[in-house]
Amino acid sequence: MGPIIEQLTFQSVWDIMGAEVILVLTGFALLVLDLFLDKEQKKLVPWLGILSLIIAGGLVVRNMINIQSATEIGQLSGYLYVMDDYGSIFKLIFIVGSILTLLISIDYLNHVKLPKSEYTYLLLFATVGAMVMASSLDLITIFIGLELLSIASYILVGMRRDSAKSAEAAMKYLVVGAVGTALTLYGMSFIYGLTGTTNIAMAMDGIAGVWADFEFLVMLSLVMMLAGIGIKISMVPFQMWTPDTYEGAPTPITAFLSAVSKAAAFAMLFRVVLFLFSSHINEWYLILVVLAALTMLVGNVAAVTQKNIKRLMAYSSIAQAGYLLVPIAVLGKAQSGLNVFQSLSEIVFYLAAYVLVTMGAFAIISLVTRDADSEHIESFRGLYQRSPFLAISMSIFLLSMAGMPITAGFFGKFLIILGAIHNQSFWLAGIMFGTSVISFYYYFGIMRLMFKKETDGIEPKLQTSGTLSLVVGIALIVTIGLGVMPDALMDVLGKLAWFGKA
Amino acid sequence: MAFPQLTGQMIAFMLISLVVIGSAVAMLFTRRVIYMALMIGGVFIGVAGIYVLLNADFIGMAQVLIYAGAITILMLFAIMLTHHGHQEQTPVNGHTIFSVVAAGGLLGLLYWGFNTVDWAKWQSMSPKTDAPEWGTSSVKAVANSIYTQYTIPFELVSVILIVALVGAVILARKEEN
Repeated sequence: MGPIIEQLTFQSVWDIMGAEVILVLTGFALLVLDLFLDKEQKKLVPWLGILSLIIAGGLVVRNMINIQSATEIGQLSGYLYVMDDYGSIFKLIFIVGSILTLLISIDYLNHVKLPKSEYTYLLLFATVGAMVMASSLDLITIFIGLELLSIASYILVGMRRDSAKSAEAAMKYLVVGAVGTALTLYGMSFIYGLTGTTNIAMAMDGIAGVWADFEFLVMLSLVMMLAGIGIKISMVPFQMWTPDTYEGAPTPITAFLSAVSKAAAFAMLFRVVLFLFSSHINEWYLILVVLAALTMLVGNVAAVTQKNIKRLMAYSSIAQAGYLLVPIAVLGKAQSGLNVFQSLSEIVFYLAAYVLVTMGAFAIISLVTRDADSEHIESFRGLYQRSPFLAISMSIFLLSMAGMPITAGFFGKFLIILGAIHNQSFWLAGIMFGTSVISFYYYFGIMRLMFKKETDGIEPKLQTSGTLSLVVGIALIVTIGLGVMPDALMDVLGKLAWFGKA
Repeated sequence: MAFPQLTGQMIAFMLISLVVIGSAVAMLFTRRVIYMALMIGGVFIGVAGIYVLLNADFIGMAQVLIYAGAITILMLFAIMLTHHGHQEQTPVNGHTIFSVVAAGGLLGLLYWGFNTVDWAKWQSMSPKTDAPEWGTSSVKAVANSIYTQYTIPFELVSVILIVALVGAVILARKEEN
């Protein structure tokens, strides 16, 4: 009957997936609590969500501290679910992203009529899905995490019943996402068929053995999974849904999709695709190289002509996905296993910077577009006169996305380009540099508008709510902090036991 | 490509495949939603047949009960209780042609690819035994996996179900004013 699976005990589950347990329990508690709360009390629900996320974050940090002294990584059900620093660091990114999303949402929900409790616990469940994707070492479990995240996000996107665009966004996301799910599952089925196991670590050895005889099947599986995950990270040519969905979704959810959902798909991409097919990476890495280059090019070039701020951010997020693919693509020429950890550090650093910057930028976008009642980039005109703090913060976020020095985004890009050159991928480094230059054009476009004088008289000052200021403040501190002292995070990343102690 | 041996199982497989593919194609070409729902019922039943052929009796029965039975009927009810106009034939345009070419290309590629695979080797890698290690009852095998190794995903599926249920209610309920 295969390997003996040790029984799950409450203690072992709590030790390894405590953060997920807390979030799921809070989700169910909020579901029930919703029945007993009146309208005013429901305003507290998102705060409860934030509280549970903070506790979950604490548990993840506890796991990371524990693993430093442990001799081997924690695992459940025969390495079906593992506790390693790879999963933990991604979980921290998701949790921070979700907390900031909820903070933006608190302001957003005060102005747009949405069911507050449902919104909160769906977001919590989506976060659990993302966390499962990062920590699971089993294809079935990863797939279920992916579905949990996807289904929850389809609903969150389509929640605005009064907006036709929201319905269109949700429908498009659902249809494209369902295709992605089907492709991923089809790809996974070949792995199971070839190796007889759903465990990634075991399948990895099996795949290396059958590669020569069944190359077509293995490659088919790889391409299917890449396409499926590619839809989630909006990789070209699977990016079509991104602008429409980002435009129609409630603004905090757009931020969530472009930060947390994307980060989760990258966690899955690295763990599943790279691991399963690592033995013959030099045969297929060119697929990734081409896709990364295309994604950077298409995202940046298409963004130049956008006039709607949310669509512009959508194309910008496509471009960012392209940058994030670079560290994975260059592994095809990697000389040693150490390069994997280097690429991982690059991805995590960039993702951390990207998530924070995205949240800060969307907090400001949420406020400005609501105030102007228009998502046209013209609504940013003269922002400096109306609120110097917001205009300067937004400029810093945009500069960080573009990769200007003394912001976190600069070091993220710098590390990725350095890694690419280190692995002799000069072309990819060149394309990344070139497309970044294009990106300066459209980011500067918004900045120019913000610092332009208002043409028709004095506009009233823009009032920021407390929670939005908090999000902007946190994002600002981290963006500049990591820009000035990138070593603070890099040191931590260097000490991590990514997949357990070597 | 070696011509497959015509055993009883092979004939059954071919007939079932015909039903599945035929229903699926017919579903795409019918213009009325109600026929589409009936056709997808055909696909579900056919797939159940394939499961039974693969000795996965339990999954086959579950497929009939849940998909062919419950889900198809649910869809039929949903269609009957809501109003539907007659759908217009979509005109053939560049997009249609592109999709046909792309799908045809994929089909050709897969056909070519599957023919290059040495299936005899595949058979020898995982030979079919009369006494599989999980015994003859597939119900027991499924139960064993779900409640031992796959407990965590099994529990997570319940969260997915809650999310889907809540989502259905949120998206379907009337606007409150």
